[in-house]
Amino acid sequence: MDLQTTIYLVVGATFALYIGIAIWARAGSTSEFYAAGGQVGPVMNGMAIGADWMSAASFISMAGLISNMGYGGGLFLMGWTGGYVLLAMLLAPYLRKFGKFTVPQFIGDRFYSKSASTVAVACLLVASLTYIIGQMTGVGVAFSRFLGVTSETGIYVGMGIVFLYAVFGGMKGITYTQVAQYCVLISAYIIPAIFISIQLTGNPIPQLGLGSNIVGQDVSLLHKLDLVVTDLGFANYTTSDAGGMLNMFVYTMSLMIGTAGLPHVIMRFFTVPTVAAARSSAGWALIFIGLLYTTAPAVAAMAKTNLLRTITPGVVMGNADPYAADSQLVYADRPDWMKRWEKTGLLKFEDKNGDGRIQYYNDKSKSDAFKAKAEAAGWKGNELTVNADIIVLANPEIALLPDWVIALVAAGGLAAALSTAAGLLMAISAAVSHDLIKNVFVPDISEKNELLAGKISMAVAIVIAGYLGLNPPGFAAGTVALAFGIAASSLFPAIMMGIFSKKMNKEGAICGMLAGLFITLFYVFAAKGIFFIKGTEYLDLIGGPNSFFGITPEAFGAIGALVNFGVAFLVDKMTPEPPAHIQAMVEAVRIPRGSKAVSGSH
Amino acid sequence: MEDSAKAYWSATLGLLGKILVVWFLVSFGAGILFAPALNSIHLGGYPLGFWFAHRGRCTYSSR
Repeated sequence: MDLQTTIYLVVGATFALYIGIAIWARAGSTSEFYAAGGQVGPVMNGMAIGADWMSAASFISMAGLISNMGYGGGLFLMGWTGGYVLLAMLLAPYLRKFGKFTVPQFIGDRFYSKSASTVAVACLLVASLTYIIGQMTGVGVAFSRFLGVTSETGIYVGMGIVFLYAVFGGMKGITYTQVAQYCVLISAYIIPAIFISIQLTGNPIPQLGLGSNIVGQDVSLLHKLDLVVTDLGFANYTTSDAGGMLNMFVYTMSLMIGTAGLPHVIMRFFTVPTVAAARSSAGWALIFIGLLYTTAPAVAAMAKTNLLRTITPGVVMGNADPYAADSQLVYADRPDWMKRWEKTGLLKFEDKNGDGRIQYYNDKSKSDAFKAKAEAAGWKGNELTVNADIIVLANPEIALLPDWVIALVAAGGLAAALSTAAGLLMAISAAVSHDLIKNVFVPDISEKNELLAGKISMAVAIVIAGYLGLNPPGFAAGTVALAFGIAASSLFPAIMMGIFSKKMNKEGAICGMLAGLFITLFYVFAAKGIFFIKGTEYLDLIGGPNSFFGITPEAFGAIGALVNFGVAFLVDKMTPEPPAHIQAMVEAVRIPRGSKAVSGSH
Repeated sequence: MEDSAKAYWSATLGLLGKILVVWFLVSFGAGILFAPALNSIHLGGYPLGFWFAHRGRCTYSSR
């Protein structure tokens, strides 16, 4: 059986499983549609949270970016796991006790104002849409490889499937299908890592293999990788930070607090019956998520090693001279996986010096010594462009693993891409139909029309996200980082102050959210274009790229959050304090006693 | 009733404060701020600062 047939079979089988579960758990009333009737056990919920977490960004893109960035890529690992600590400790139990379906509902009730809730919906929509753009990029990569088409076609196909998928089941369908998806994607991540770890180091545990010696050599994998990438003009793998220590610091902070402010994960805590169950599902989720996050650095470093090994075999597995002409792979002899990925347009070769061999190196290196060596070797520029988003999916192919492993990874990539996109569409649909239409514009809307409005908003969201995903503002994980920055600067401070400050009033919260959102979007759009539309950048207005202390747009969320807190406290001091019953409500939320199942206003 | 609620809340805040200090030191401290210094120490093939950023983070989060 050839590879493509195996892939179709494995992917088909997993899809049949998810769709079967979705039909079995088909949603009925609105309450079930949004929060699965409040009846999902903690272990199951932990897995569902895990599947939500391991979006296309974590699964497909993160290890690829780490692989390119080296040490600096660790900020994704630190940001997303560290944010989880904040979410589970500071917010989840209190939001659960508060007992509302969505973040805008919480903000609307806590700050006793429909305007506050409307502002929160706006923040949520901007953050979720940006997030879905990142997911659609990943969906495009996964589908293009799966079907052997260009990444654009991959996105179109993906849009249709994600939409069907989210509309079909609602949250309950999604909770149980996500349990199945978690199982598929975690095995798709770990099994190839084990194979590759054995191949490269002889150690079956990837987490340990990363620090072990390369087979047949007396040097550790990481050290060897450091040597080879430096020889090729790239930054040292284990020390290269992401745009300086300050940028790395705020970038990590943005991801952490953005994680805590992002609605689709918070919603998960509403699907368990009690506060205690919310806490234990958080614990379970951490274990399930940790499995992937501890494997990611190994996948990243080993994928990089394998890629270099393919192109310059003697240099990685022996001590050949990287500049010698016969060290580099002849293009005509390239392995099949390169040909397959060339079809998607995500891997490109251009023979700049006409020698028929692939030169893969950093032609933007600032080191004069390296430039002299490259010049002497007759290199005329980097000839191989590898999109960072393909690294994980191509990883088992690069390592020449068996067909069923490659098929499993394709299935995992599709599962990851679909699950988060679906979870996010749920959050968007709830925000529009419930928080905006029902609570603000048409209070007496029927349940049926509310559901319909939710589905229409899903469709609109996916078309916008798909369109912008064709020209994404960055790699999947980078785009998702922007979404986290937006959530960090707008929603996180408002939720925090709602729980931890009794005296925070509506004026403070509204001004804070608007200020944080506005300043972050202003900085991000300057570099990435207004609403991420190419050609509308206005970098001159803010004084060039990264003009604010060298902080990149992806990292700006933490600064936006500071502005949010600052503005909120200033305005709070100048306006009257909240009414007594609100202050009493905040006190009640802080104590776990008397928690009940979620009651919305349906 | 009122007092026990207050005591419960201040105990909660105290605990959260301590956890957050550890959280900050391990991730931002060891992983970023002191990473260059820690990188001179090697732990089973990993430079230590790199280890905290890429690996230790998760070990710690798993409590």
